[in-house]
Amino acid sequence: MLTGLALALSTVSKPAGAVQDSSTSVMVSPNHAHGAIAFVRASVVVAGDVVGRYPQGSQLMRSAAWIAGVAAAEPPVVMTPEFFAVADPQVSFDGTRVLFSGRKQRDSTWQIWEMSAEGGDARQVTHCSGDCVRAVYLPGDAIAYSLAGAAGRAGEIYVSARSGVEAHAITFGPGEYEVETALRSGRLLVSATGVGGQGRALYVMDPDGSGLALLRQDDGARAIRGGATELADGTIVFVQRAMARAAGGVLEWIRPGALHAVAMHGAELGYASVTEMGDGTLVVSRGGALYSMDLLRGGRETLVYRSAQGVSAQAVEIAAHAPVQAYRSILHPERTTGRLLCLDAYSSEDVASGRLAGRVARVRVLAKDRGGERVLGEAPVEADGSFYATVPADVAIRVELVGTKGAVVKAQRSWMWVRGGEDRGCPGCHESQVLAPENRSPMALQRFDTPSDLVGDAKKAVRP
Amino acid sequence: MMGRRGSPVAQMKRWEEAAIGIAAIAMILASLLMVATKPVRVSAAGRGMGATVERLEGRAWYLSPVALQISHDGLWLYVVCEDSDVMLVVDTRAGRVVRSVEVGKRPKGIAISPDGKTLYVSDEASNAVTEIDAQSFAVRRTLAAGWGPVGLTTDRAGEVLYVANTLGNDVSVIDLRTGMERKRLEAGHYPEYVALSRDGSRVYVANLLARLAAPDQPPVSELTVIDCAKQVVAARVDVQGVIQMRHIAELPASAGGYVLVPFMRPKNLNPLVQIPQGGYLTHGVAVIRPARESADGAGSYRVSEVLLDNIDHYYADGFGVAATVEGRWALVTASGADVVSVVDAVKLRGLLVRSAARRMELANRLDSANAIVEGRVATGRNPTDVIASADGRFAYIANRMDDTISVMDMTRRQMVSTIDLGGPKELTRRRRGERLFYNASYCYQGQMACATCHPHEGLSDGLAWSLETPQLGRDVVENRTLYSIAGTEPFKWNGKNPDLETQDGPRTAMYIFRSQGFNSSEVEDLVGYIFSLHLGQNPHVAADGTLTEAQARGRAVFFRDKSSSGAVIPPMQRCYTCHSPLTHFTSRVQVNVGTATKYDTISAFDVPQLEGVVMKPPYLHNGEALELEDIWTLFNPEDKHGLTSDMNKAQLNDLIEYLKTL
Repeated sequence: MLTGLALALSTVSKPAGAVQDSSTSVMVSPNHAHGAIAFVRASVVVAGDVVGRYPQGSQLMRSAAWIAGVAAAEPPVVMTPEFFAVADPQVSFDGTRVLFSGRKQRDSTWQIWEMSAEGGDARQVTHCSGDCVRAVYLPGDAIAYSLAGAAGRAGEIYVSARSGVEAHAITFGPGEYEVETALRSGRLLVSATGVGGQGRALYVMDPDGSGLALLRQDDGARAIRGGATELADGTIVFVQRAMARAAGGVLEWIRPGALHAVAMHGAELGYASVTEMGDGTLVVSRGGALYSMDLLRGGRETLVYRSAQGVSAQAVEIAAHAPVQAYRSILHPERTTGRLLCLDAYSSEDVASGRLAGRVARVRVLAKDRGGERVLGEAPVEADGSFYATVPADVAIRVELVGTKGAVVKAQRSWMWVRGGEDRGCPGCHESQVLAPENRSPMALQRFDTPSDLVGDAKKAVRP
Repeated sequence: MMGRRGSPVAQMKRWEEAAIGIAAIAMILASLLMVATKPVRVSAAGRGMGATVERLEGRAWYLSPVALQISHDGLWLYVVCEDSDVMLVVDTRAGRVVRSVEVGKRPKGIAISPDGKTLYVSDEASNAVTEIDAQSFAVRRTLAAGWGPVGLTTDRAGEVLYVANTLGNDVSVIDLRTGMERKRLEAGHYPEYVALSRDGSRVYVANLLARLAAPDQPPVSELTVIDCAKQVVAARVDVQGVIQMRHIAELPASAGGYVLVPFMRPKNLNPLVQIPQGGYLTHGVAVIRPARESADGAGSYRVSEVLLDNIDHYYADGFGVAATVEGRWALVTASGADVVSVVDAVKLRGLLVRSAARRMELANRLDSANAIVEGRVATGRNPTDVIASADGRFAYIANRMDDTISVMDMTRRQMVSTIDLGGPKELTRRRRGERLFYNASYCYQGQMACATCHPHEGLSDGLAWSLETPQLGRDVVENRTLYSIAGTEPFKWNGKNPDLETQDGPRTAMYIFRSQGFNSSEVEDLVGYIFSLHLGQNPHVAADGTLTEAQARGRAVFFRDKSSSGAVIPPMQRCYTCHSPLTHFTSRVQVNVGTATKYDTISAFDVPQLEGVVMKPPYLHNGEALELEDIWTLFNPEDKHGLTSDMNKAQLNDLIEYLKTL
């Protein structure tokens, strides 16, 4: 049936140690019916380098629809023959289009492209001066994507119309931000440099750039987390690598309500990507091949595709799927400042008691500058731990809590920002994520001399 | 109130008031315009009322199951349906309705006698209880109760019926031998559901709303405990920081003996700048246990609060709660999330033991559910009551918004079937709007539905909220009822929303739900539903509409144009000028009545309609006035809120009596 191809069905209850067939084969899981999938196939992969990940080029492949128990009638076809390299396919909510990162020529930069789900009619969406990758669809005919920065990592996240116009940055810190996926709630799941500059952690943010927050405060500060996706039940699945250059990693997940990520299958390595199909099964890339993973059967894996010509990864189902919620921004883009309201600066996960000892007198806000950082000003911290300050918008800032004798009691180790007109509310300073704030009117809001003006000479602050 | 409008006498009274109003309005129109900060907008109102409402009234009779009981042998499930005024009898083996019994208006609760031979259904809009023979299903008699009866239970002997009267804020104690009310016990604020303790010694009463208190303090709700032997209130248990306590279930002593009551913990005092991490509100269950050291067994209760929300998803509007007979599992319905949470009682007990020293922190922890909830099981739309069979095999869940019963196999904790109660399958606009009203999925992470802050079909939650404002911490405003608001536009205390479509559409999506919110068609449905909400029967009004002497005197005070000394009262100091009977007792403009505080950025506030005012405390834009009289005695020092300083106490009392009739 498969001309020149061998039929091989490999089912394992745990990741298989070896796949017996080295020829190209498109397989089916006997218990599921799937639509067509698209995936990336490359002969050589350089892990941890967004720009240089496919030095020999790559192709977007499209397999025919699967029929339960029957191998596909046709081998996968190349959807992007005119491209040197492609990556990061995403299917539109109505299932008719595919968004992807593409390099036309070997010396081209990465740009965002869109094509028909059947292949063809490729249209360049972005015209970035650098490399733009990892785009996702957003409601309202918009997209979000990552502009690569130095060292091969993405640097900033942009949102634009699907046509590519009206592109604007929504990240303003030195975190090497990279789009992971659009969550069903309408927020963006992104990855960025972890606290302390080690590893990469997952964050959530609003698609207007407001509300950046760690997805989870858990271990693994040195871990490299990426390739994340959200399952229909809200579970977040991602690949965790021990080193940035590792070819594969452990599949981890954060189940709904869980405080910490855990490995899905012990410590099995070699996973490069994971995506959920419409019927709830996962398609994972492990050891360069694609497997379907049946979560209802303990994660049993069935070989889907393995190519002798290279590594396959980033499979997506070409089908309509539920759109994520539209997010209605309440920002005021015309404003050059935002406000920072902390309800209780004493609340902190960094001390065993959950509350800082001693008296905090003031909060100091610092802005990132070319030469390092500079103090924008200080605001009083009330007895209940609240403070309220106006800070410059779209500038990387961090805060320090200052005691009564002038010593820094606690310093924020990462950079944040507020957007124009944003009222950024914080229950505490690196407080426990599982603690909802108390129901009380913060003292800082009962004063009439707040918010404290900490805008400083913000215009001198250089955007990172 | 709807019933009163239909009586000729009531209509005549309305016309008299209207005539006075017309004359008054002609006289004061000019001065009114001078103080109005915004012109009256009439045209927009036509979109949401009038013909639209008439279309709605051609409605189907949905069932809307809200309360359940089960026969002792488990063969019959009794289902109270609030929208069709019936109690249905379901054959649990066949999974179908076998009998329908007409009861009073808007039935809400049901109790079964200890011998299983008698059923009692509370008829909220009839202010009565229907007594039904559980064998023949004949209605034996109707028992008079207080205002708005909902929850009810008999004592262990089956001789006394305790009925929670929501609007009356009390509990009727009814002698079942005579059928007469023996006494009324003062409850908390809006008592809704009751439960008899397993040992039969106490009746627990959950109050929906917090006690009336200063609006800048967190709410405190009350679990009222009644001593069955003495038929007196034995304890008023404070449940700090919560409102909307609903149904009650008690675990057996072997499982800790905890009394479980679902609740909502609002964060109304914080400015609403952050919705994740419990920044707006959280949902959970109060876990209450008589303290071991309580000498008299009545006065000391230990209260813990455990959240059932997850760290990044919320289970809005806890409603029903049931415990399996052996106490292994507790089921809590999340009526806004369409799920029932299966709580492992053993793990709950462990959590409480581990958290004994940090009970206050426990109330705000969003990781508890991860430790004690075994699963979230999908139900039908808007699950309300839940009941477990005596043999522990099944649990039944009433799905109000799709007229079904979900049947859960408790051995597997999975739904096994759905019983269709037979309601209309087509959806009217009102029903579509009603479904939206209870649905929290439109909110980011599922935190809230419209019903979350407007419980019990449009009630105000009684709290002042620090909502969207250009200046954080300013303009904290009291939530307002949704009853009888058609024709009272504009909305919001600052009058900025010209119609309800504006209020419920993009603004709610952006500032409250933080999501895409309702589309335009959904907004239209929702507005249609909200405009159909009215206060039920008002017991302060005689059946024929005749006013008592005190009410008549109060009416004269309300419509007076001369002071006690005989001087002419300036138009803007007359009650009926701003509270015009022609427009639901509001002038639909913003007026400065001297109630602004230093924390307000405006001084003129929307004039609230007065229909149903008696059941809307607290009062004024910020909820400072806990009672009607406070408006004039504490917060009207310069007579800007009408001339009231010349009134004596008797006149104030009369005025209140009249206002109660509106």
